[in-house]
Amino acid sequence: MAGAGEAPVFVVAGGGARSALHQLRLAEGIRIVATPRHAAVLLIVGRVTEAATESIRHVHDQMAGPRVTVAWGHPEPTAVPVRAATDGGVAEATELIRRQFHNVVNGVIAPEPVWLPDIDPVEWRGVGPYGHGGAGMTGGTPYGRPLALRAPARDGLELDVLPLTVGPWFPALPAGLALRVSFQGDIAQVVEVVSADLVGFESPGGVVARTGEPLLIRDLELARARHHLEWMADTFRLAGIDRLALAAGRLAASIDPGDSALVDRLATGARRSLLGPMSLRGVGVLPSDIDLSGLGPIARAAGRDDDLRATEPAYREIGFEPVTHHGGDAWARFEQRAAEAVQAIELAGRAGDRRAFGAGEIEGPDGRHRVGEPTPATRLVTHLEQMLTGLEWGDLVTTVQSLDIDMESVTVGRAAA
Amino acid sequence: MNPGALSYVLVSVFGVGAVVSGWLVFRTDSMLRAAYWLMVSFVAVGAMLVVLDAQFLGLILILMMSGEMTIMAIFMIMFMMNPAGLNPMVMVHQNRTAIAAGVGSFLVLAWVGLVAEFPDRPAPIDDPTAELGEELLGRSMLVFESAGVALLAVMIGAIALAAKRGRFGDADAGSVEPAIDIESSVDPAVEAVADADHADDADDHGAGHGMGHGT
Amino acid sequence: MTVLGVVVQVAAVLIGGAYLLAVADRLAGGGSANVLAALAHPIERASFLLLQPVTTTERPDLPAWILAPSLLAGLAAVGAVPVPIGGPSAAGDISAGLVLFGAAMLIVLVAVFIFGWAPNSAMPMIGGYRFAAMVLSIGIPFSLVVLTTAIPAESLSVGVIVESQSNLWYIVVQPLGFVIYLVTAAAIAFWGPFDLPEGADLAGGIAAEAAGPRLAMWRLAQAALMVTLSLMGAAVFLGGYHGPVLPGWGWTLLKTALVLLVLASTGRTIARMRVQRLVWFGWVVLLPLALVDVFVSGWIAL
Repeated sequence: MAGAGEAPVFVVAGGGARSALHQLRLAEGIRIVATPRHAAVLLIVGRVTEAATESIRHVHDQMAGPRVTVAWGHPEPTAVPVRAATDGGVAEATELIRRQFHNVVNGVIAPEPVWLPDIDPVEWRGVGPYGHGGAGMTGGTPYGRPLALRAPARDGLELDVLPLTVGPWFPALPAGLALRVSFQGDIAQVVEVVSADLVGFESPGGVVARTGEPLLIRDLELARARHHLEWMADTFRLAGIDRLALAAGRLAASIDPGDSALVDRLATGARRSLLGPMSLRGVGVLPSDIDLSGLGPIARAAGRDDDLRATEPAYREIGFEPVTHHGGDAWARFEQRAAEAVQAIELAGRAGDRRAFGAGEIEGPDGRHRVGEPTPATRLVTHLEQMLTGLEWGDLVTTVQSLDIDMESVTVGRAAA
Repeated sequence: MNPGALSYVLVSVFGVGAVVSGWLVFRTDSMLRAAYWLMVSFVAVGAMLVVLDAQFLGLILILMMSGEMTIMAIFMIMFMMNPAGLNPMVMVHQNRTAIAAGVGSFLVLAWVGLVAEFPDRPAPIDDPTAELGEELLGRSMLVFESAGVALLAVMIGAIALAAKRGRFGDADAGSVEPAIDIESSVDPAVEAVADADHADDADDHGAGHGMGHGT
Repeated sequence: MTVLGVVVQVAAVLIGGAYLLAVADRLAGGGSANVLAALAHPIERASFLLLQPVTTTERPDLPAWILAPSLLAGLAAVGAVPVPIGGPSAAGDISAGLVLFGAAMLIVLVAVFIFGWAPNSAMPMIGGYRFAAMVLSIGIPFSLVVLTTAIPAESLSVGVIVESQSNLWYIVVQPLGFVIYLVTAAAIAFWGPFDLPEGADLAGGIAAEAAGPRLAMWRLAQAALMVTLSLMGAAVFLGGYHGPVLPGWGWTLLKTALVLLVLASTGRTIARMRVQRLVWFGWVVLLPLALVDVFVSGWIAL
């Protein structure tokens, strides 16, 4: 009975896993869960680097058990001992995960032991009748950790600070992004990006390292529409609107030049679900000193008419006009990406076999990619600390999601610059 | 067992429960446990009232106290990002003053209990809630109406203060950037208490004890 | 009816309703298109959770962590006791039944808060804080609209309130009260779009560290709480057991299921509210509306 149900999977998503992961979310019989505690299967998708090994071990040991680890799409063996691996498509991966789950629950294969010793990070050193270990009401460091430091909050009260590292596989943040946060309540008073390149990538040049042959506009625009739809699915999922998330995921998986009305319907559904007023509006407005040029939908959602496609003759022939929105908040970015997905599908339908963008530069779904220039994601990550400091945790997560940061692209951009 | 004896037993059990949980308030090592032991104590008192046929009063007491204790716990813990008493603490301080105040108030209440005249044969009441309503809106009408109007004024005032662009600025003014600079404003006295050797460990607070954040 | 009878009846209604809610939630989320799969889903999930070992974290407050799910389930049961199901009953005659329900629903805050606080972990703790902020903001409108149904009935006994609706359901005279009740009930049961304590941004929030039997018990308790809130909503706004043809218990269960399905479908179709907006919404929108409801109902009753 237990093994017949959905396999609860916690995903560690490395480089190149984005679309595969979105397809896996649509698969029957698999439920991707938000915390390793609720999972029985640890799935490592795509490329992760050696530096990620330690954090993956931590995630693995948090699974309640019976647990099993599966790798999908790894070109080379990882440093962690996976039980089973596949290079196949989403159907094979689903089948493998379901079989492993069924076997481990029914005792056909032995559950994996923990990978790290189960000991306290710091030894207990409590003294005194209450174990509080020192002078005064709260003095001392019985667990080897000092009491949270006290600091004034901005309303003039004194509040304790809880330092915490969130990530790199925190499901509500981009995979591979780790933040060191000092919490006061649920306000992130200090945010620091932990830079360790945990996510691997395919080619060091990323999107722009191509042969020099101009691209088919049709392919490029369909890829853009798919990218935006996948982003919309993630946004819906974060806001708890599961039905729309599934609809967006299905549309992304089967994108076709006749689909623009379906995307429109999805955007209408988003408005009816009150996504703007309930959770996105007014969140994630960027500080005015950040240079928006080249940031693609983020710049255009702030009213900037900034699009490399406008300079391409092939795009002008098929009647391309940049779409913009006003407000520059997370809701404007949602409307911007929804409108761009519709526009991209229509352009793909009109493009015929026209080509655009020779080697060197391209207007990607997340903005301008140019040889020798940091990618949009790399630039955004350098501004994260400034943007996220002082936000309520939920708003912080919404802001990061609205920026559409792909850590693979960050690694690529760092390598390029 | 007849109903009288049953209620006698129940009142005794709840009474002992109220005293024991009240005592436990001072025997725990964390503020949250102390606050909720206090709540258990009040709930036991409320249950005594219910058994004594004052259902409405008893339930209102439970309702009020559960809300109040949580507000109290939040205000205490809010100032202390200390999940589950990771750092236990002593819950008693200013012992002499506290003992003096406790003994003093016990004596006063005991004296009141001894000298006050309690009715030994209460009049039979059909519906204590209705009876209470008669009392509140009959003889004591003026007092309770004044209190009611005052509370209404407080509620309207609370709405006015909580509303956006209230008297003290925007409703969400406390939660928008820019953030304050914590690093440079940590109280040096508190920092001195915190063991400097382990400052680095603070950063690993999360990773260490298996938080579900997917480290 | 004997005490044992009441216990069995409440347990049957809560567990049956919880199952219905789990199936409806599954269908509303779009997880399975097929009804048979949705019917099997809660059982499959529960059997997996019950098979898992009990996990722990580093130095949790174990008694509180063990107590919290049972406390939540117990509160759901206590809140359901004063509702008469099949017709006038002894349980429905509890003279301050509405206050008993209100007290049980406010102690839910305690159960949820300690469930988040006990595992000694940051995300559950923040979830617990959020729930406290939520309930303090919507608790007063919730209590006000529930107690307003006592005004026309001139009694705090749920039995009398249902009996007095034999001609006219209170949803007709207090439509505003019913809407506020639905909104605040979803928030008290931390159900979508008010599932902030378990939001995706907290990776499961208060339940992030719970697994196995503890998680199964928590989910059951939450669903039972939803059933209790629906049951009371059906009793005080929708006329409880009054209705033609069907027996009284049939009408009570039908109306309860209806409220439950409305809550289940909005849970997955409306976006989760930001915590700041929810606090604002509670104090600035719901509280004045609830006061309007009190005044209008009082005026009509006079």
